[in-house]
Amino acid sequence: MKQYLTLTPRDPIIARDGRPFGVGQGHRMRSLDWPYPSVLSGSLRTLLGKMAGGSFTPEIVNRLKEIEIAGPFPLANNQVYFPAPKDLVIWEDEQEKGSHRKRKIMPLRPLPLAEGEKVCDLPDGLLPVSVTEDLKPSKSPAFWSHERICWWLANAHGKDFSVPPREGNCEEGFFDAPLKDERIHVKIEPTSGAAEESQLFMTVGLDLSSKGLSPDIGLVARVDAGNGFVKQIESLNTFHPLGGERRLVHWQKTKSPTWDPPDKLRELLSKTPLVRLVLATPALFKDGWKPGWLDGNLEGLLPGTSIRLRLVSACIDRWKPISGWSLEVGNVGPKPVRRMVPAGSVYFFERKEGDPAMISERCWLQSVSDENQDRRDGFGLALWGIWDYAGHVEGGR
Amino acid sequence: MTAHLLAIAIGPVQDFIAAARRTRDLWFGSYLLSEISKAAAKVIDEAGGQLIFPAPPAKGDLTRDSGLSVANVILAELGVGLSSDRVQELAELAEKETRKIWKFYADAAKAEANSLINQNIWNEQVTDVIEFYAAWTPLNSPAQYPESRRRVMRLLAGRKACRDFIPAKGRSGVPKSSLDGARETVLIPKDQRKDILSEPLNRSLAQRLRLSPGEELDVIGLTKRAATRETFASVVRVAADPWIRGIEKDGGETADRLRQIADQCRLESRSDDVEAFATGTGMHHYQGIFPYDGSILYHSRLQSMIRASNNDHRVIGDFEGLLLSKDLPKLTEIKSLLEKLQKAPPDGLGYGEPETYLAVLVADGDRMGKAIAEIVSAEKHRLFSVQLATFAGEAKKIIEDDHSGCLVYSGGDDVLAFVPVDRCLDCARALHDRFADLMSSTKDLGIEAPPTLSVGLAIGHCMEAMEDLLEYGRAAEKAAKEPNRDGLAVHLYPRGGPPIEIHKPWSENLDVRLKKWAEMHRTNQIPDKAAYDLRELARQYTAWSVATPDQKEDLTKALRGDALRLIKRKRGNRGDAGLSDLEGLLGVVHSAEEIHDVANEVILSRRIAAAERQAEGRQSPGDTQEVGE
Repeated sequence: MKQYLTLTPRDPIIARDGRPFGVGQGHRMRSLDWPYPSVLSGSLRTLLGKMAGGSFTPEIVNRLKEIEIAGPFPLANNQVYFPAPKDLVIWEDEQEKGSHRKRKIMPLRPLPLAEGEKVCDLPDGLLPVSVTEDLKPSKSPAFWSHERICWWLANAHGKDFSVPPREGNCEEGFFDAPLKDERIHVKIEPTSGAAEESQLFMTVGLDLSSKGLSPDIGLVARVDAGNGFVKQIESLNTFHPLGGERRLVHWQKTKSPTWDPPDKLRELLSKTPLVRLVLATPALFKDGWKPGWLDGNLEGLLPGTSIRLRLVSACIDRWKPISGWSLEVGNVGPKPVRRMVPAGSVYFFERKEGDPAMISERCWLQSVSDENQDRRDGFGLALWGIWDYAGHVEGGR
Repeated sequence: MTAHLLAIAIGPVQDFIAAARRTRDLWFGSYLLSEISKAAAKVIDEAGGQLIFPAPPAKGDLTRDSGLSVANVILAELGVGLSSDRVQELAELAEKETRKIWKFYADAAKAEANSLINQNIWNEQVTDVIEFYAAWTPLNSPAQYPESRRRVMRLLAGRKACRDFIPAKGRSGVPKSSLDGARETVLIPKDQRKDILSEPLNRSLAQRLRLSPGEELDVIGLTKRAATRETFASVVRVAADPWIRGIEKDGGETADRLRQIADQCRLESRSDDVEAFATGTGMHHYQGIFPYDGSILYHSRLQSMIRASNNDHRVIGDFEGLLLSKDLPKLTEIKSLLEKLQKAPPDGLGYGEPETYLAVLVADGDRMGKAIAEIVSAEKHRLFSVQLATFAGEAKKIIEDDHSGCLVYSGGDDVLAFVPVDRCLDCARALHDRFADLMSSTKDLGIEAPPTLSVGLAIGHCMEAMEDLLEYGRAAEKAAKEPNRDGLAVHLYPRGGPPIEIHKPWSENLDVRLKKWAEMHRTNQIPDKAAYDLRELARQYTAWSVATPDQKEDLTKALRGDALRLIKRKRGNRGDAGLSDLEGLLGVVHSAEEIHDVANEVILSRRIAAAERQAEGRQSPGDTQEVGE
């Protein structure tokens, strides 16, 4: 059963990167730009475990780990926001000087090549995307509203799309990455309560309260607990830490926000031979950049469906590391570092067989990651759209 | 068969260049990436390819450690007779060479620090560092060069849009790199490390690695730290340079005292300068009177070294942990020599403590892409690249020989350097002008508007974290490009209080004005409080709203009048002759913002004046004043 939660941060949230922190190991906790899915899933499972009696026996822990969690995503005016997709570049036309340079979009779409033609050192069978301008990317908002991103997903060529503004603005459906709140702290000597000399340290938190423009910004998450925690989630209305330094967040069950694809996009997806995957959360794949369900020829069955896809091209930023600190009994300490495909990355597929209607029915905001636990933790949630080759004005290739 | 253009990009830039805790990591990381890129260029050159960018000015410039610094992008023309398959093979050869050169340096680091390395983790990481991207396109005829060049660079951008990677072989229970947290540490656990580093035989290794207790390094971090024995000047040394130059200039007994301090830095018990207890400045920097780190010239740092050398419970592995009780007499001697130099007369010579601020200089060519797009042939593009390489070489001379700075990186039109505050404005101007000189000849290559150079100067405290100093420098460079490039930005980051940020086009002579205000501060012709009062005045007028043009004019007149009255009321210690320049400027302002800008210039220039005063040398007793913000 799918349930939805709103999370309202009372304090800036601490979501650290992998650098060690402690005496002699640097005096700064550095922040990610946005909490990874595991930050949410870890905190929520702990909260539910406490609500269910607080005995974290192996059996309870296993049941908690079976809960499927998706998020956190920004929520404003009852709209869920998603990371900006990477298959476009926003730029300002240098020809127009001064502060009124015209903002433009360069969509990135696979570049059709002649049979056997090779133009770069991408893995065999993969096409580069077409770059049509020599430009420097301009500042643009980090998150797009559900409505905006669905428009983009329904736009095969990426043409005639209204350009996102420089600064995020919830009225227009864009949201900037949260400000980073830096705080200097003093280590306190526990017996005397006095500050210790030369023991300053800094924390950096994600400030989700200071956006000012819209007082209603919060976080939203989807939970699917088919194993007995439904009751706890249903009654959820409490403060509990999220991330580091025990910074508090108010957790509450809420009604479903607009989460599913609009009818127009469903219809387009049900007909298209060319399917575009945009990662709404970072993905973990056992082959690194490539989903493990694709074989050496870049073909495979989309998990949970009978749709066979072939990868044609991709827009993937450089990998991001994720590690963390394990508190699991018998395994306390640094977790191994893993490499994620960043959120917003885009994969362009050709559908070889299967009913495409299944994509919007079964795969929308479902995980495409390889390992079951990564899927349940909310890595690799997929948004789906259509696409066409660069230079094609109408129809497919 | 036709000719081809081949374009290559090499990384990871971030891991090599940005992740650094010390100037030496930063410099050697940049050097490594340049050497790796050069190796790829050499493969193409030797296979008969014609390099277009980089275009080494002399034969032999592509050999390892040649002194030529190159960017991480390569563009080359491959002659007729090579099939597209062969082009791909050549790209693969170049890639193999980048991995080979990387391995060469990594092996050197491993040999140096082998006893501290977890071999399994090292072996897993060392083969997965280099990022290499290549694209190629036919060049059907020389006339099609502009079109083909544009296509190949866009193909490369399209290829780089997919940064494919292999999964990490992560390990649980192992801490991550302190520099970026992206890989596990290759160092053995810190307790074992401590035992090894505390052995007398390993003191020089401990000295070179200068690991903080608990500092963790991955394969890139350790290679940057250990692959070379060469040292590099620290930010503290750059900050202290005006003070040292001032003393060197005065010569005589004063300079002798500083020489005696330098002699103490050279420990008799350790055989060579590399093991000197105050780290050296490398073979190329500050070879004059005081070729050492400079920390001991600051009272508080010296005190902590004295404490450390007295402490039996020190942590081996970090710098202070290297100090032993036998160093105590030397440190005590340094303290007494230093007190004589720094204390005000009659107890001392009155030189005060060295300045603690330095300038991070970041420069970047403007509209380079547009200029290159106008070049019609590979040959002309090559000549353009030669000009860029010439600039890169001359930038080193301008920064290091002419302005006492330390160049970290200069490849093409990008420059990163640390410069003493008293010389940073002249250095920025010299770089800008020389770049303009070299680029003016590119008109012959068909470039309509030759590129210009925007320079950002961030003046920050030497105790700020390196990542912050770099961030400040990059922010200044970005500001210098606004609104229409060809600009200079000077940002001051005081230890307490908000930064002061000023940027103007080069044509508005911000550098000349700042130097003028600094001179006035230096000669006490401008009262310290005047600028702050001006800023307060601007603040009051900013809030004043006007409706009609007449009202606006009245307000402007009142603003000018108030500003001039304020200045006339002030008197510098040496009369008010110098105020006429300021009056001239205030007499033509149009808005409160302009007054605010002038006030900020005057406030910022006090920091420059303080460094200039130290570099002048001998001072009268009243001049050893503290500078506040």
